[in-house]
Amino acid sequence: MSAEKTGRAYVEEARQELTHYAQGLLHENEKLRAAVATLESDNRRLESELTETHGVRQQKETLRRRQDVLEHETAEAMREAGMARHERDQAVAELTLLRARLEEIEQENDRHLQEYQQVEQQTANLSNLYVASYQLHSSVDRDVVLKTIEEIVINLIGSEEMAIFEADERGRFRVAASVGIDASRFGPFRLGEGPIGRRLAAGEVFVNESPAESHDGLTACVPLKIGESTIGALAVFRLLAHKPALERLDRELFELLAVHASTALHCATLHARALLEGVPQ
Amino acid sequence: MTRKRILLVDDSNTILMMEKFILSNGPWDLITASDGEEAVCKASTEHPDLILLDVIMPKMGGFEACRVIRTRASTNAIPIIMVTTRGEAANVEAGWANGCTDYVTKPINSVELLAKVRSVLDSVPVEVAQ
Repeated sequence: MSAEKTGRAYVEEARQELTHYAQGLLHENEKLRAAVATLESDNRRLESELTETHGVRQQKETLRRRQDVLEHETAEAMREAGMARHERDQAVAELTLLRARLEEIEQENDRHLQEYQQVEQQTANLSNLYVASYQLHSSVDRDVVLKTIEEIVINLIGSEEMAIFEADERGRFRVAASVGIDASRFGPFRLGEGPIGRRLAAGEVFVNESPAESHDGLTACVPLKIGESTIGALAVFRLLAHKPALERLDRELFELLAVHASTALHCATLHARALLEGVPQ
Repeated sequence: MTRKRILLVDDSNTILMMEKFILSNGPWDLITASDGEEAVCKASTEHPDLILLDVIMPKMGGFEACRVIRTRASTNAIPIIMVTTRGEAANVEAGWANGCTDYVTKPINSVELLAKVRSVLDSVPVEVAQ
């Protein structure tokens, strides 16, 4: 009996232990199932997150590539900007050089223009002297010579007030021709007499630098000389209104007249005398 | 193309010679007349492209010649530069009133004359030879 009891108790104990074990297993199984469910849920979530992460990675990759492109483009743009700055600096330097060169050329051009104008002016001055000389010797007619002297004074010097004097055999100067003045106010005079005679006595061309201040209004007095002998005189009074003063060319014309007008006038006078005396031509 | 022609009018040989000297190096042919009547005649027959006209001349003065040239259909378009010793306003006004294009004063300044001649002729079309 006791053995039977013992057996039964052992079985009962084993059964209870098995039951307890089975319950534990069931409980554990439940826990595992819950864990599996949780894991599955986590797995799904992770898969979802993984999918999202993959999308993000793709976006990130796209963005990274885009960033690479942009960085490349930026680098390229900066390189181009650097080149452009360099080109701009070169262009600015070249422009500065060109401006300096242009200024030099303009200055050179101005200098050439001035030289050209000076040459033109000198040519004109020489032309004036040549024309005056040519015209004075173009005729032996006394009236023509006197007219030519007047024309030279009017047209080349610029005065319409003048008197041409000639010395007679006794050395007295008389008016031979005049323009724009009252010739009667000039009576015969000798060298050293009166305002004109005094100027003639010096034997050189007299030029009044301030004719307006002179009481006789004489602007210039030109002795007409053959060698050392003064055979006549040219007195120039007021200049034309638009001619403020005598210039260097005018003085040269006076010097020319002093020699060539006297020669021409002397020849014309001799010619006229020869005609009167019936000398064969 | 024919060369442009300039009629120089002055009773003074000195001035005519002077003007020839100044203008002879230019690309122009020069014609001369010694008084206003001859100037009017040559303006009609020679058809110059420009006339340099003295004011005080025998037979017909410069102002009258200018007026006659302006009244004729064949010559009224010819530019005329008056050449005068009188630069006063009244004389200049008289020149404008008689139809002159411009004026220069004597003594002639070559640079001024050349500039005015070039200025006037540059605005005149050149005749084309037929």
